[in-house]
Amino acid sequence: MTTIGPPIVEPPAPTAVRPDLFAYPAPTTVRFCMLLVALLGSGLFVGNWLHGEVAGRDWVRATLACETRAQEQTAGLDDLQQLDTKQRILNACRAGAERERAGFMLGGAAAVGLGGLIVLYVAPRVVERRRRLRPPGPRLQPVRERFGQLAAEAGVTRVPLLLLGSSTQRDAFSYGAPGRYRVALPPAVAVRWRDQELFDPLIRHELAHIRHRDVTWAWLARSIWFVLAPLLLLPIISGVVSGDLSLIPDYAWRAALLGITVQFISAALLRSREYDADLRSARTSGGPEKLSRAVALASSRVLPWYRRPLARHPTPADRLAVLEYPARGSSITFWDGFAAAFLAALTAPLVLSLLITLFTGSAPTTLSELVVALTAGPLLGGAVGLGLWRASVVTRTAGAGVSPWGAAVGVAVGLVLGQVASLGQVGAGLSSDLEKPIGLVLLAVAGLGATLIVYSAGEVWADAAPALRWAWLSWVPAIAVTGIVFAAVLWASQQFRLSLNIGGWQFVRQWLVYMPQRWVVVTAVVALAAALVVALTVRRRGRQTPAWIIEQGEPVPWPVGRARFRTVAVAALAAGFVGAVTIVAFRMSAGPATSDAQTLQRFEAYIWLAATLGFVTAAVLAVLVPRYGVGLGSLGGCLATVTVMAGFLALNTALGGDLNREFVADSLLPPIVLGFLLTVAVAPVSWLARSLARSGTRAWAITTPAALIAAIAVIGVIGVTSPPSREIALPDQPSSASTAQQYVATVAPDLVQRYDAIESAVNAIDGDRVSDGPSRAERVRTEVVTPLQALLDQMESYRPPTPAVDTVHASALTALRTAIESFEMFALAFETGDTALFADALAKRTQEQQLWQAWQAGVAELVGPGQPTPGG
Amino acid sequence: MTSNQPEVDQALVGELTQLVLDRVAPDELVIFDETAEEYFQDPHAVLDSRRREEAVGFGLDLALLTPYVLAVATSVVGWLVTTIAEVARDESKPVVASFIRRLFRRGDETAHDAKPVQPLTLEQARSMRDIAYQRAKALGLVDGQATLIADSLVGAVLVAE
Repeated sequence: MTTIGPPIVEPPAPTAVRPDLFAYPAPTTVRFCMLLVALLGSGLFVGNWLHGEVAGRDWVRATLACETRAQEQTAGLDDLQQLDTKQRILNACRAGAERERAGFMLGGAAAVGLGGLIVLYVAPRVVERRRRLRPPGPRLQPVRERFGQLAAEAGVTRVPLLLLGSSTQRDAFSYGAPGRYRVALPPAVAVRWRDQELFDPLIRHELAHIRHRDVTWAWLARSIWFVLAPLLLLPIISGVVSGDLSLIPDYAWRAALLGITVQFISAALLRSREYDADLRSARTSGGPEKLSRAVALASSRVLPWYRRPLARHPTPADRLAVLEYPARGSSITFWDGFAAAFLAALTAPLVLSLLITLFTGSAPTTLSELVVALTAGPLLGGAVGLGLWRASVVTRTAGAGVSPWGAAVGVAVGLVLGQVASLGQVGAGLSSDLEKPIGLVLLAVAGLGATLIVYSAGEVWADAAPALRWAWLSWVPAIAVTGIVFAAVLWASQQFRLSLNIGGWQFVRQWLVYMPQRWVVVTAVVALAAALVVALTVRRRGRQTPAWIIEQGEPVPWPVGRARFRTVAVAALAAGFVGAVTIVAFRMSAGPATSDAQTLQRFEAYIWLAATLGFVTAAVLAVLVPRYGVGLGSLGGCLATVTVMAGFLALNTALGGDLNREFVADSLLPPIVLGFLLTVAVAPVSWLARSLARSGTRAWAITTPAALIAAIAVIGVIGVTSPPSREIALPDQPSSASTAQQYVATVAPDLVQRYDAIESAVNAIDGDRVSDGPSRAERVRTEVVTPLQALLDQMESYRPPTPAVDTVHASALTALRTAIESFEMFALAFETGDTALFADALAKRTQEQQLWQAWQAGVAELVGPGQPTPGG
Repeated sequence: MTSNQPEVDQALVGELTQLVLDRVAPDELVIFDETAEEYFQDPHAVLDSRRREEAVGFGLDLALLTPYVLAVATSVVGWLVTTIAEVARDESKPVVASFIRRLFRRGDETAHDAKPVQPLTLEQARSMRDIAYQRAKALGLVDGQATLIADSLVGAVLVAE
């Protein structure tokens, strides 16, 4: 059996190979792109706010009319069908008004974007006037000529315009719009045009900025911010002027945080791009020596700690270090991870809000959620995943290692902070997140775990680098694999939080097993596993540094680890075999299931068993195999899970069960998804626990007993003692059926009846065209809120007899609480005439409708297929 | 007459500065006229310009020496005017300026200037150097640069052997 341990090939001396960082696309480009998207996304908020100010009253009228119409059209329907039908009618009716709102949102983003473009094209003139820039005079003609030569050497097709600054200018800088770039030189540099150790490297550095499109990115971000910043002040100014300060506490700190963070992120991005410009300049200079001398002249003023994050240039010491060892320039820091994750989490709720609004009545909310995850994931993949995979390859040329922790913690913190601070959360306040902080903790853990898995997979992929003929074969999979992994984890964590909010842990348990759209996670697992299998298959010891990563130097033996596919396969198969044997043993000892409910209970137990053994295998590999383990664990875990379920399928077929494609998919995919999500969740702990492992420990020797213990525990807990998450009422389960049917027959109709009475009061208040605002507010409080509170009190006093009923009933309680919040907001809005508050109340009302839908689905489950629904 | 005084001084300062730059930073002479114009418009702004971190720049902090030499030369010319004026009490200011101008070593004095000129004494040269050095230090120049400018200034005027 192969043992596992550190790489067996000694790393080359640091100076043996000078790596070419430009073999990969720059992850900072994606981060710049995310920054622009975040700024434009904030424009969506401005548009939405403007809509509230300009067309808010019409929108409220239209929405209320739709509510009335939906109520009238569903009056004769069955109580439980009514909610679903009403929602569909309501959505179709509101579609027009919502599209108008979406138009305002898009208009806000477009205005910010267009304004930014105008500023971008106007800014050069302003810069030239304010900085007194001028073309070099005839006596400086040689400067122009030398500049032109250097531009040609740098591969810049359109030679930028060269300008001379005033005596006060001490640094060179580039600016301008695309295709109209300019380089402004300080006079002290221009007159030293013969100095090849100052003038040439400096010009090459600026030309590198232009070639890398840094000028466009940086100035576009700046220009858009110039437009956005005053627009973000409008809601505050409007609130102060009108005396309506309700929005300000929830909004002002978010806008301020956005402004501050944008400055930090811009500065961090510019610092990263300086390294790239230096490296490009050194490359076109034939080596880093000349540029190093010029960098030594750069300002070495030590900034106080609080100003360092805002510095646009790294310190000369850091720049010289990267010039000497370019691998250092590939490192992904806390700020890199934070920036990408913060921007993604900041923008996602705004884009989601736009999509939901835009597709009201034509596409389900889940589709919008999916689109957002599938957009944010690849962006995170390009910004963080690509960076980590690049660093894994590049640092090997220098014999160094990469620590993913800075980036991983940055992603975790960025996701949480971005989620809380997003302008898309204005109106919701902090309460929803702080009431259930587990959702934020989960988001952080998901970010941390996903980044560690992505990094570790990158290390395995780096082993295979010498077998890849072209650089793109290395970086295209990096973006694709890490993008889908981040997308899947973001989507799953968002759905997890939603499930937790709607129905508590019971609902989460059900969601984990019967997850809709699980193909997102399945695709991520398959992509990750495929990349790892390819890497483990094509890697060969003794190969040399791939030519595409070498800028200077001769190839040297490529350091690879000893982790092999066989190691992973044996550990996984051992755990899977234990799981399969446990299932067979359990089935033989327990005999056949006596009811459908028991069948379902056992099936869920097998799914949890397979998933648990998958994550146990992943955790063991993560602990035992430094750097590679968490990535290999994803593959090993998947393999172990498939082995367990293959055993189950074989047993089921042997006992006369059908074996068709659908059943195989239903058996394999849920535990694969569940196992992967568990692996993500425990990846940080597994990683930290790796110091516990002794060198030379065989993976299978740990996975086998660990799998046995875990299998017995899961079967014991879920297969024997715990009811299934989807409890079905059947005749041979009298106690379960009677309790469920009791709820369906008595509690649910009572709830529906009393709620309908309150809805009638709501309709009466809606139809009241005589009363003024305060009178309507009073009616809402007495005729709606008070009865709702009484209904809630009564429902809270009910003690659900089973977890399944508890889960369903919890949805009703949440819906009632949301309804009370919503009508209290309506009452306040009637009193104050605050249209923004009215919009928030309506949003709450929509949320309430969704909760009723969840409750309705839960009741339908309790009733069972084909059973009559109460009140029908 | 009084209103012309600054122009005379500026011309003298400019001439002396160019003589110094010729020794310490000859490259800067190609843009001397523009730099001097900016300096004389607002000396304070030029000398006190603080480093500004550019968005897409190099990170350099490299200033021209010319404004500093102009500032030092302004002090030195002021001292020369006072010193010469005390000696030649009856002479008009243009004549004083002419005396000072003839003190400058241009390398071709014998060819174009028939009038003999009394060079500075060693003591006066030492005083002038001290003034130049102190002024350069006060402008924030490092010791090496201050010494270089002060020595170059002394080297740019005629001093008795």
